Amino acid sequence: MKIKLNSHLNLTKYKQMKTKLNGILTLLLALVVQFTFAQNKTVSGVVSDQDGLPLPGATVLVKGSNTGATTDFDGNYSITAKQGDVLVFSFVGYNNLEIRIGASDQVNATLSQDAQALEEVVVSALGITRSKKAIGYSQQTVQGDVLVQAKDVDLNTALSGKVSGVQMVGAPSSTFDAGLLRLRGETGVLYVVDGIKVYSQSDINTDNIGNISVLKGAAATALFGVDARNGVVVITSKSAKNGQAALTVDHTTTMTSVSLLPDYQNEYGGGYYQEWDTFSFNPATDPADWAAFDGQKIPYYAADESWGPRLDGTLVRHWDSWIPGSPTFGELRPWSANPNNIRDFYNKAINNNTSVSWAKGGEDYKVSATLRNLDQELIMPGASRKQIDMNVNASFDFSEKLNVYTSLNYQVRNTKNEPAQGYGGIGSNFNQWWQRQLDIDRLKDLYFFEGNYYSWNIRSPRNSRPLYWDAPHFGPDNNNTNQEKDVLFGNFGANYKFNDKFKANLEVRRRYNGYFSNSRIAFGGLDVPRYSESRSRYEQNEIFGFLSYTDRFLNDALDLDVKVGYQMQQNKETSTSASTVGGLSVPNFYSIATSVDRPSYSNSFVNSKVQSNFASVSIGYNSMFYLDGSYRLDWGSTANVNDNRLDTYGFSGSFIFNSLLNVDVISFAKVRAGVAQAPIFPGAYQTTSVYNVGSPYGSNASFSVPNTQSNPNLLGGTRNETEIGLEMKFLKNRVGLDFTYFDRKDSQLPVAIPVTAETGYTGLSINSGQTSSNGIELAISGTPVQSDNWTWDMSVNFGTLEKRVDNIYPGIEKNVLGGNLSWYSLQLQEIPGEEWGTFVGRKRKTDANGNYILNSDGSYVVETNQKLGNILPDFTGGFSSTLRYKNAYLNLGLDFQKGGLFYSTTNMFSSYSGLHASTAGLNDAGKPLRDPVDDGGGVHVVGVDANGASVDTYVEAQEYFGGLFGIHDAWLYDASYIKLRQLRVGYTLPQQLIANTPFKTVDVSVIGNNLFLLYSKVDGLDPSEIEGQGSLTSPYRAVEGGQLPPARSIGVNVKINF
Amino acid sequence: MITMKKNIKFFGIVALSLGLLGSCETVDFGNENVNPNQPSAASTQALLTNALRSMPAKVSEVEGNMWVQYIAQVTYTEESRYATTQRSYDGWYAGALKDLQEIIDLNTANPEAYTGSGSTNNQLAVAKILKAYYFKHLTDSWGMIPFSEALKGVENITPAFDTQEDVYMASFDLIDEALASIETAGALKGDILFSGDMNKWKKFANTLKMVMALRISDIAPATAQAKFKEAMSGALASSADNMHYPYLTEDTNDNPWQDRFETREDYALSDVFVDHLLAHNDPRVASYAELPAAGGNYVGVPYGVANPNVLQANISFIADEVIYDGTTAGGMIFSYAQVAFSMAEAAERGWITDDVATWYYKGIDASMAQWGVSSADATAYKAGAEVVFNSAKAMEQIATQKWVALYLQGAEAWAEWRRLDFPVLSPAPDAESGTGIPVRYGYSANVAALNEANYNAAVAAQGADTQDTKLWWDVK
Repeated sequence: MKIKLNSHLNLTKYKQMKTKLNGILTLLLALVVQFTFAQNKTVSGVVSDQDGLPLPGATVLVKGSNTGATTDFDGNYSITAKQGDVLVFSFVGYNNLEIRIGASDQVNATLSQDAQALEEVVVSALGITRSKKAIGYSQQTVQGDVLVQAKDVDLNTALSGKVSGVQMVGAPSSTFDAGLLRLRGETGVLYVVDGIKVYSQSDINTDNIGNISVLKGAAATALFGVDARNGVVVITSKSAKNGQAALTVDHTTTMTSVSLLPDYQNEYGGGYYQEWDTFSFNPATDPADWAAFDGQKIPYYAADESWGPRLDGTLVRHWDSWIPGSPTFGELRPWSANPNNIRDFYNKAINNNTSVSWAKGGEDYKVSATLRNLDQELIMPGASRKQIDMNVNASFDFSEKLNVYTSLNYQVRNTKNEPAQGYGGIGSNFNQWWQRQLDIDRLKDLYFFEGNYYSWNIRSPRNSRPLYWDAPHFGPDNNNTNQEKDVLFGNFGANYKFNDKFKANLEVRRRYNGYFSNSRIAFGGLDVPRYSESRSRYEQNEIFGFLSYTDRFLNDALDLDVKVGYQMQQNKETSTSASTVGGLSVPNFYSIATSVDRPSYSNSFVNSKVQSNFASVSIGYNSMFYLDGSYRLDWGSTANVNDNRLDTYGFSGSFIFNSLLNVDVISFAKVRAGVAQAPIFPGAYQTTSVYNVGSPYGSNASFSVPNTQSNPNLLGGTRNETEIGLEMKFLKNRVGLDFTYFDRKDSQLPVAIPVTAETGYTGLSINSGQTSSNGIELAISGTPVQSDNWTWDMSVNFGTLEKRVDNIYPGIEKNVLGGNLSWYSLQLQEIPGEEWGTFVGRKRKTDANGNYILNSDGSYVVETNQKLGNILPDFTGGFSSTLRYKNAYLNLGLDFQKGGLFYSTTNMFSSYSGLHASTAGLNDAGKPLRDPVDDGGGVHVVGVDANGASVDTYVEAQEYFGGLFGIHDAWLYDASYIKLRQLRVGYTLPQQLIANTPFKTVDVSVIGNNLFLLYSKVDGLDPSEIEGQGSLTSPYRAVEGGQLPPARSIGVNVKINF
Repeated sequence: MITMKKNIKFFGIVALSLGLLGSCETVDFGNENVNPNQPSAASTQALLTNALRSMPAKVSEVEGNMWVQYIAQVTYTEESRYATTQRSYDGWYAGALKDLQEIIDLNTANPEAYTGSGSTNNQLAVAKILKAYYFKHLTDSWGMIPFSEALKGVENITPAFDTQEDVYMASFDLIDEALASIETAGALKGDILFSGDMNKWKKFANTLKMVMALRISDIAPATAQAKFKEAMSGALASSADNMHYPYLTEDTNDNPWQDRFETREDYALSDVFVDHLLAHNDPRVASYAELPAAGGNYVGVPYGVANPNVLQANISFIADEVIYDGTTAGGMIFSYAQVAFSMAEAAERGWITDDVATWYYKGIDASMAQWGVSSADATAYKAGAEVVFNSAKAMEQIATQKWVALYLQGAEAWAEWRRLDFPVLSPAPDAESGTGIPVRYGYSANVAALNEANYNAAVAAQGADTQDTKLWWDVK
C-alpha cells in the first residue's frame, strides 16, 4: 500500500520552523488516522463452489499483507481491508481467485474446481482413493455436475462423448430404452456404486452422483473380478464434507417432440395401381339405400402401400365413410395429401424431474441423502414412466480406530405402454406400410365407433375386418403393457485401524432387481386376443474383506501398500412367465385363467457362485515412480467341475518425468504402462446336457435335443491386455493431453459358436480360439480463456478400435454372429484374418469398371454370399465446452462417429411401398416417375449386360423399387454422424438479488437434449440411435427394423441451495 | 521393537493362511451348476412325439404348391416368382433328425433304460423309418446333403455331402431294416400319428419305399423295379388306409393352413389350376376352392405376375375346410390315390402285369372319394374327353391326374412333376431368378459360411447352386 506522501510533505515544509520531530510525529499520526478513516472497512461475503455449495474453511487473504480470514460453516467470511485492495480466495483443490474490492462491502467468490490438479483424486478398486498421478493405467474422471448438466436421466446418455474410447450406442430417443456403453468395442460394462456392483445403469440415480471414474483396461479393473473385464464405471455417491450442511432442491421440466422423420412423397395415395376401382352395388347382398353408391370411386382399402392414384382432389369414399351410423357415412371427400399426418400422430411429451438432497458433515460423521421423483412421457401416445429414487449415504467414526459406513439405495419404477421397436411396430407401420393420404385426426376420432373398432385397412366396403393393420391408435390405446420394477442395492461395512500401518475392511453388499410385467393384445383388433404375465427376480449377495499394510521406508522416499483380500459372490435369478394361447374366452377380460387353449408356461432358475482371493502391492518412490501389482484367484461354479480356477495378474507403472525435463512450458509429464489379465467364466449350465421341453401334443409330452451342444470340459477363458500411455500438461495446466494405446487378446473364451446344422446342432459350447483388438484413445483439454470475468474450458476426446478374430476353433472357418439379420439372409460374420464384423449378403453384380450388370428388362443381376462391408467405425469421439461470463454460463456437448455400417429396413420398405419421396416426382426425362414407361415415365437404369454390351432402359417405378427388396447392398448405409447432444445456458443469480431470501444460491438454466443431428450420411434416419433388431445388447447395432423417430427435448431447470 | 514383531507375526499368519487357500486347484460348488430348468434324463417317447410334430412342415407346406402352380399369391408375389434362392434345412437337422438320431443312439447304447417308451425294436424301427422319410424330403429338395457324417455334433463339425444316390440307397436300407424288425404285438408310446399301431407303420414304410422306388425309376430302373415290387403288397390297400396328419383344434397343434389364414389372405388358387379344372369339368373344383365372394364362377389369380391387381372379393380361395378347419384336409401324408397312380405307372413301365387303365381309374376314384365327390359326378368326369384312358398318352394322363389328385400335397406334387414332366407348366412371367420353374432349392447362406469346403465340393459335383440345376433322379 502506498502512502501518499507528497501532499503532506508540502505541509511539512511549511511547518519547518516548529520542532521537526513533533511535526513528523504529528504528521504520521495524521496520516494514519486519515488513512484508516478514509479507506479501511469491513468486507464480508460468501465463498462457494461452482455448484453454489458454500466452502467452509476457505482462506481469504488481503494480497500483499498478512491479513487473512477463513470462512465458517456457511462459507461466510469477514475481513478488514480497503477499497482497492485485492482479496485472494483459495481452497484446496480449487483454483485461486482474486477480486479487487470496490465500493460495495460485499464481495462473494465462486471458486472453480481445479479439474487438472496434480493432486486430483481418483476412486479405484477396493474403494481406495488414489492420487491420479500415481495411477499407471488409463482412467478418466467426470464430475457429477458436469455429467448431468443436461439433466439426463440416463447415465449412458449423460456419459456420451465425455470419455475417450467410450461411446454410447443409442437407443431410439422415443422409447424408454437406455443406451448402451461401448468401451473398447465391448458392451457389458460393469457399473459400481460405492463398491456395489449394480445390475444396470438404470438402477442409478444420476442426481446422486458425486463423481464418476471410468476404468477402461484390464489393469484398472483387475481387482474388480470376473464381471469387470469390459471396463468399469465407478461411481461415488454424493457425500458431505466436514463442516458442511446443505440442502439442495433441483427441478427440471422439459418438453419432448419429434425431431426427424423420413422424407415422404405426397403425390400419390394408397393402393397398388393408379386406376380407380368403383363400387358396384349388388342388390342381392347390399342394403337398398346403397344403390346410390354404385359407380363411386373407392380406394383399395386393403392395400398397405402407396402406389395408388394421384392425390388430385377427386371425390372418393374414404375408409370412414363405410362405418354404419357414423357422422361421415356415405360422404364423398377429396382424395388429397396430408403431408403432416405422421408428425401429427406424435405427442409433445412433458417430463418432470424433481430432486431434493441434503448433506451434513462433521468431524467424525457425514450423512447425505437424495430423494428424486421422475414423471416421464414419450412422444408415443399412452406411454409413461414414473420413478422414485431414494439414496442414503452415511459414515461414522465410532472411535479413532473404528469407522462404519453404509450406502442404501432404493428405486421403484412403473412403466406403462413402452412402445415396441423393430419390424411390425408403429414405426414400421408409418414408414413402411401406409397410405400417404390418411388423415390422422379422423383416424383418432373415428377408429372406435359405437363399440366397434375400425381401421383404414378394411378388406372391402362390405367387410370391415382389417387385413394387415389396425388403426394406429388401437395399439397405444388398448394393447396396454405394464412393468413394475423394484431396485435395492446397498452395503454395510466397517474399517478398523489396528495401528498406523495395519488396517482391515469388511463389507457385505447386496443388489436386487425385481420385475413384474404384463401385456396384452386387446379384443376388437386384427390379432387374436392374448394376455401374458411374467415375474422375475435377480439378486446378488457378496462378502468382501481385505487387510492392508502401509509403510514408508528409506527416509519416507519409498511408500509401500500391500493388500490381501477375499471375496465371495452368489448370484440367483428366478423367473416365471405365462401366456394365453388360442385366444381369450371372456370378452374384454384379460387373464391367464381364461385362455382358450392350454396356456404356455415357462420358468427358470439360474444360480452361480464365484469365490476369490486377491492380493495387491503398490509402491511409490520419491513421488516420481509408481508401481502396482495385483494377483487374483477366482473359482467359478459354471466351469468344468475338475478345473474351475482362473489365475490372473496385473502390473502397471508410471513415471513422472517433468521435473527431469525442467521445461517451463511442460508443467506435468507422465508415462505409464501396464499389463494385465481378466478372467472370463462361462454362462451357467453350459457343462451339463439336458433336453428341451416343447409344447405337448394333447397329453403327450414333447422333448427335443437342444440346439446348442453342451460341453462338460468347458473352461474359463482369459483376456490379456497391454496398455501404454502418456499424460502431459502444459502452460501451468492450462492445456492437457492424455494418450493411451491398448492391445488386447481374448483367448479360450467360453462361448457358443454357430456350427453348421447338419451336425444336429446349430451351436456348440466351446472354448474358442483367439480374438485380438487394439486402438488408441486420446483426450485433449484446454482452457483457452481464463480471466476475472471469462473462463472457457473445452475438451476433445477421440478413440479408434481395430478388432480381428485370429482363430475360432479347429475346423471352423467362419463365425456367424447374426444369421438372418434381414430378409434373404443378411449375415454378420467374423472371419479369421479379416477385420471383425463383415456384412455378408446379396449384392448387385458389377463389372470391372463398376457398371451394374443388368438383365435385358433392366433388373439387376444379384449374387449371393458376397462381402458387403465392415460394421466397425473408423473412430469415435466427443467434444464438450464450458463457457463462463461472470454469472452466466454456456455448456455444450457433442459426439461423433466416422464410419461403420448399418442396414435400414425402413428405407427398403418405404421404397418398396411407394412411401418414400424418391419413389415419386419426375425422372430425368422430366416425366412423372410413376407414369408408365410407354408414356415416358419410369426409372432410368443404365448398365451393361453379361457380355459387356450397354443396357440403357427405363423400368416401371413400382417394379424398380420392388425389385430392390432384399438386395442388401442397396440398403446398407454409412453410420457416420456428428450430433449436438446437450446444451445448457444458465445463470446463477447474483447474491444481491437473493440477499434477503432463505436461498444461498439460485441457478436457472435452459437445457436441451438430443438436439441436432449436425451431420449424417442418411436422410430421415438417425444413425446414432439405431435400435437393435434381435439382440439389443449387441455392441454393434447392425440393422434397424422399423425405427421409431428421434425426439428432442428442451426445458428449464432451477436449482436452489438453502 | 515388540510392536514390530507382533505386526510381522500377524501379517505372517494372515499371509500363510491365504497362501494355503490359494493353493486349492478347484473349489467344490456342489450342485450349483446343475440345470434345474430342464430334464437331464431322456424320454424317448417324448423325443418321438417331437419328431412327429415336424411332419406338418412337409405335409402342409406352401412352397411346393406354388411351384406346380396349384396356388398363387394374391398381393405379395415375390415367393411365387422365385425370389428366394437360398433355403435352409437347419430346422430339420437340428430338430426332428437330431431327435430321431437320439432315439436310435439311446436305444442302441442302453436299451433297458427306455423300455418304458415301448419295445426297443419298435422304437428303433419307427425312428429309422422317419429318418428315411425326412432325409428323402431333404434330398428331394436340395440334392446332395450330408447323411453318413451328419448328426454327430462336435465329433464332426463339418460333415461331407453325400450324393443323392447314396442317400436314397441308405434310406432304402433303413426302411428294410425297420420292416424286418417291427414287432406288431409290441408297444410304442408317444406315437401321435398311429397311436402305436405297428401295422400302420408297416404300411407307411412300404408306401414310402414304393414312392421312393418310383422316384428313381428313370436313373436306376433295375433297383427301382426291385424295390417297388417288394413294397407294393404292403402299401395302402384302400381309401380307408389314407394317412392324414392328426391336427388338433388347439392353437399349438393346428393345421398351418389355418394359421396362415388367421388374419391374412395371401394365397388363392392360381389361374392355371382353376382353368384346368374348369376345362375338364372336374367336380373336385367345388371341394378344392371357394366361389368368389362377389359372385360368379370360380376364378384363379394370375400366377407369377408382379402385380396381379385383383380384389380379394373377385377370386377363389382355398376351400374353407382346409383353411378354417384343417383336421381332415390339407395335411395328407399318403393317400390311396397316390398309391393307385403309382401302380398304374408301374404297369405302364411293364414292371407288373396289371392293367394300366384299371389302376388309373382306381386312382381317380380314390381322389374323388378323398375329397367327398359323389360317385355319379366321378363317373361323369371319367368319361370326359381328355380324361378317358388313352394308352397312347398313358404316362401323360397318369401324370396329369396325379397332379390334380395331389392338390395341396406340395412337396410330393413338385417331386412328381419334376420326374414326370407333365402337365406342361410355364414359369412365372415375372420371374426374379433362374431360367425356369425351380427344380431344387439353393443351399442356405449358413451352409455356405459354416461348411464351406464341403459346400464347394458338393457344388462342384452336383452343379451350380441355383434352382435350375437338375437333381440326380430328375433325368429329363
